[in-house]
Amino acid sequence: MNFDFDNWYSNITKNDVVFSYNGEVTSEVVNKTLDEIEALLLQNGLKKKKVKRAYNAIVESLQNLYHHSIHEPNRESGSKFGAFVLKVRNDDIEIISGNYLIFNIVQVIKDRMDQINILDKQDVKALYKKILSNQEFSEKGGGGLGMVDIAKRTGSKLNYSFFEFDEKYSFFELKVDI
Amino acid sequence: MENISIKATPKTPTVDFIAESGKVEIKGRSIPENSIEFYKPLVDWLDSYAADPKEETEVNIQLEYFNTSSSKCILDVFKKLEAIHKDGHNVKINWYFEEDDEDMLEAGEDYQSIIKIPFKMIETEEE
Repeated sequence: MNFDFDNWYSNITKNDVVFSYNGEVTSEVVNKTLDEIEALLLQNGLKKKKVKRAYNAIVESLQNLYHHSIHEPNRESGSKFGAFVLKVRNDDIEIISGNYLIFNIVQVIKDRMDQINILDKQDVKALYKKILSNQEFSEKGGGGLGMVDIAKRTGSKLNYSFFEFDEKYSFFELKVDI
Repeated sequence: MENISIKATPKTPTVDFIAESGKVEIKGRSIPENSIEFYKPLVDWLDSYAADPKEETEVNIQLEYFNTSSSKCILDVFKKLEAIHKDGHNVKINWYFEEDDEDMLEAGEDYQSIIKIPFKMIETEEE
């Protein structure tokens, strides 16, 4: 079955949601979301160290959407469409982000994520340093470090999925647990 | 040469680069979407400063957050400082991290291992 965004979004926003957004991901949206979220996390009585770690992963997730999201196929929802959900349950924080992408880059991203996922903690750190000292930026201004940074800080595997929308587009979902 | 003095915003740090006293300070949050735009003037300033640096340059980096695109730009800043150090001038780098913020300490250690200048790691109390 082809990917249905509304269905996906309603599923991920069922429980424990403290913040959710779907729509155009502009710089203003990123700013506003970051402001609101920091206050929300601190209100939830979570430890500062955890809030900091979560905030970092949220920044990377949102900026990933900002740099890489594209329009929503077959709908008029702006040129950068993305979804972002923050859940808190007891002491656990979950960050879910999603965006469409062109089908033919799915394999490249999958390979990159899998390469990170087979590494142990020390190797993730080494990879981070290697990319950091290799002074290059992608054409969109990302340093290619975002995913490695998330893996490094959370100490867990990158929990991602791709859902096929049609022969041209797929939907990318990333879940980060803190 | 002109000094750089930039006030903090929610996404960019306070910056004070003062040529007469050889002081280089970056403090606060560095999470802009386009870090290159923010850091380019700082890196250019260090390039000019390197032509006639003070006997000792004191660098204070006290970041609460920085995103991955800033991390590369911060490395560019350190590379310029490394060049000044290599030319035989004193460069002292103080890397501040908040008590319990292991990630920030580790980030400093990562830079220290790439840059050939000793870092002083300074723990500050949680605000």
